[in-house]
Amino acid sequence: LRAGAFDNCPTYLVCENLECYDPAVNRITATGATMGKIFDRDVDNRLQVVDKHLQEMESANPLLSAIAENMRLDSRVSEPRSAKFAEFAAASLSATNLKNVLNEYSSQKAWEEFRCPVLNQRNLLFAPQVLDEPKIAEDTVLVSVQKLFLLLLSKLSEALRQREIGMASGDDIGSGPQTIQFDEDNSYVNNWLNNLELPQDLPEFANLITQAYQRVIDSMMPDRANGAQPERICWAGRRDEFEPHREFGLRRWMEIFGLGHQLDKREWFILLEYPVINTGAFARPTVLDAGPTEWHFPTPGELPPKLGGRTMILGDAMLAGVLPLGEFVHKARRLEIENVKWLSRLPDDTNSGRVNLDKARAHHRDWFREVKNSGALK
Amino acid sequence: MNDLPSLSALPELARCPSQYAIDEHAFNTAMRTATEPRQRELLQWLYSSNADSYKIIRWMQGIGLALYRQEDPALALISALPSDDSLCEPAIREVLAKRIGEAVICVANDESNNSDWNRLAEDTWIQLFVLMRRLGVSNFKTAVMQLFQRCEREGRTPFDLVSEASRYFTRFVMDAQPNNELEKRWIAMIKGSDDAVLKASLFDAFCGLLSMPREVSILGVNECIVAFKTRIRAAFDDESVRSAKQCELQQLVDEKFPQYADRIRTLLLAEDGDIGTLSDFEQVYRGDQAALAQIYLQEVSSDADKPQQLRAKVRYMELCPQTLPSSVVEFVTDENRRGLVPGDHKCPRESRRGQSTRGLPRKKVKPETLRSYGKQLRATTKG
Repeated sequence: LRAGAFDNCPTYLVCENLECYDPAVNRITATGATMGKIFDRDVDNRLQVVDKHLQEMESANPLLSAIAENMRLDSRVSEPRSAKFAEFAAASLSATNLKNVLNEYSSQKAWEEFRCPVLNQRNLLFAPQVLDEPKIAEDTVLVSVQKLFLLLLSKLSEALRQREIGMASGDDIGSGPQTIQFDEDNSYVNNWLNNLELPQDLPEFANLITQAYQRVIDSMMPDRANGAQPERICWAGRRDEFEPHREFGLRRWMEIFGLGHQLDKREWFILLEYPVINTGAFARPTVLDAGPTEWHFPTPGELPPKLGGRTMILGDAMLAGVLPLGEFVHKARRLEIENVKWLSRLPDDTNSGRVNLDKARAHHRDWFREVKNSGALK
Repeated sequence: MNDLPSLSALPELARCPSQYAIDEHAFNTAMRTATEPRQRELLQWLYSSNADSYKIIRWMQGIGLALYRQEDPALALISALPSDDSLCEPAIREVLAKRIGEAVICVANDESNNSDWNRLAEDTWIQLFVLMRRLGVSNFKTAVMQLFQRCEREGRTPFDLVSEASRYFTRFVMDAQPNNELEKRWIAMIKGSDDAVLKASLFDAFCGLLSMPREVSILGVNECIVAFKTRIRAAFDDESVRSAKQCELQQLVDEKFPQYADRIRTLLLAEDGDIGTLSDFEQVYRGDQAALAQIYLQEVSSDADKPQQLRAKVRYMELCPQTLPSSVVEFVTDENRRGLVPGDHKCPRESRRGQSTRGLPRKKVKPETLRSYGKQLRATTKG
């Protein structure tokens, strides 16, 4: 941590102007628990059953305990949204556990609620249809590190096939053994991705992945209609905060964006950049948007929403003293070719694997408490 | 907390009560090493004797299964299985596969208006198919065929026919087909026809054909080789691309269907008029002497030169002596046989090396006899 940084920017925690933001002010000094609270508020009648489950989770194991801690600490959740969650939980907790309830709430409700001004007023930063004035500059450029999930890989394969068919005078010829293995382990599309040479092949990849992305959004329509599967929520950070880390590559990107659950995987990720105005609706996330994940950590609700949530820094980035970056949520959106900036996958021989969750959470907890206790928030 | 029963958070009656469950020993053994909540949740569900198999469909929709951000339900569930070296892993995997099969059959047979057959998103089908593929397609033959039969009744798939889900499904059908009933469908697709339920490229359709449980007739295979050549010629102007596609087909057959490798290689060559020896050709037809005899008989009455006719007659006589037409016998003296048909069945191509055909110099002489066989074969199969 840079000595004296806090003193040099005393307005950081109260200033709405990001120019004043200096992450180096976040020093680790204080401790303090929020036991007996939910969403950093005293437990009322509606949340008593949730509190009971949280107590059980806290004594179960570190993973469940982490999720419980997130729910207790997160003051970003508004009163109305807390009430909605309490209602949902009360109807479900007789049949399942709280982790599942939180998972279902975040997957079925969050995509709609995060952009609802009644339920998420304080966190909502940009929503032209419901907010008179955006609370963040519309031209703020975001970065997002997104996994090529199964459906997207499948759609990418479709796009590749369409291109091949076009090259074969419109006839669906296909090809040899590679095609046959596609449905088993995506080796066809993986092989194509492996053979790309960046940056020269980036335009070709960007062209196909944008087509694939659009097909994903289109294909979600049927389930969206019957409510079984909502829209996808995307998570993003700010490019100005990300920029110093760009050169370090995917592993660093995953560490600074808190993607701890992906660090032991060998899956493809894309780096996207786009302005806030292209997101449709854009907000600071809460634990209800993040769902039951131990790799998320709440941010003091008193921080200016435009700073976003702050990511939990992991692994080598944490050891290097990198401080939490802003994180935001928005709904899945159409991609443009120019939004696609990179494609990468952790090499097999990389020394990745899961990072130490306890250390990362302890480190972030200290940061959290320092911010809470710094006095600057008051 | 972990040991709470975790049924779906959306209470409903069991839609598909399971007949299968893991035994207590497997459950206890696996629970000892299950550290993550989803591992324990999966084990509890598999151990429960009155579980609803339909839960797997909901999990694949992302409902009721705790997922990390951007995590795919199918891969999450696979990761929740005990490690491969666990002694109880096969038993657990087997019960999981059976329950998935039950759920798929349930979807396939639900004829109600609001059944999931009509409602599941493509993503859910893909998650389900990936899960099934990872657990081994052989576990799901019954389920896949019931899904296929439902598709046949409806005349459509529950997903977009142009999507990858259709190709996944077609691959499942290929592997699950219990008999050769789909032979005409595969051949039609190889010829380029659209199908209402199955979606396959030319190569995939070949796989469908060659995956059938019983051996495909040589005439059927040859018909497809002719169609393959025709489509490749129409699709690609570049001769090198055509050649590459032909090599890919051969490579595919070599790797996946070695029982057909020799005959397809020879048929591809014969189609090019590039077959080297009579024995190659006969090798292909070893399993179908009637087809071979028919070709020889046609050769006898063709306008080929006398020695060629005689060779054909000898071959025919060897194959079908009891049905030899009397007109053939007069040509087949012992002397002729010795002089015209060497024991190794070699074509007299050496004597023709260097001659050109079609007015163009070629690297290898194409024996007229064998080109003629190819033509005859085409005529036969087209008829």
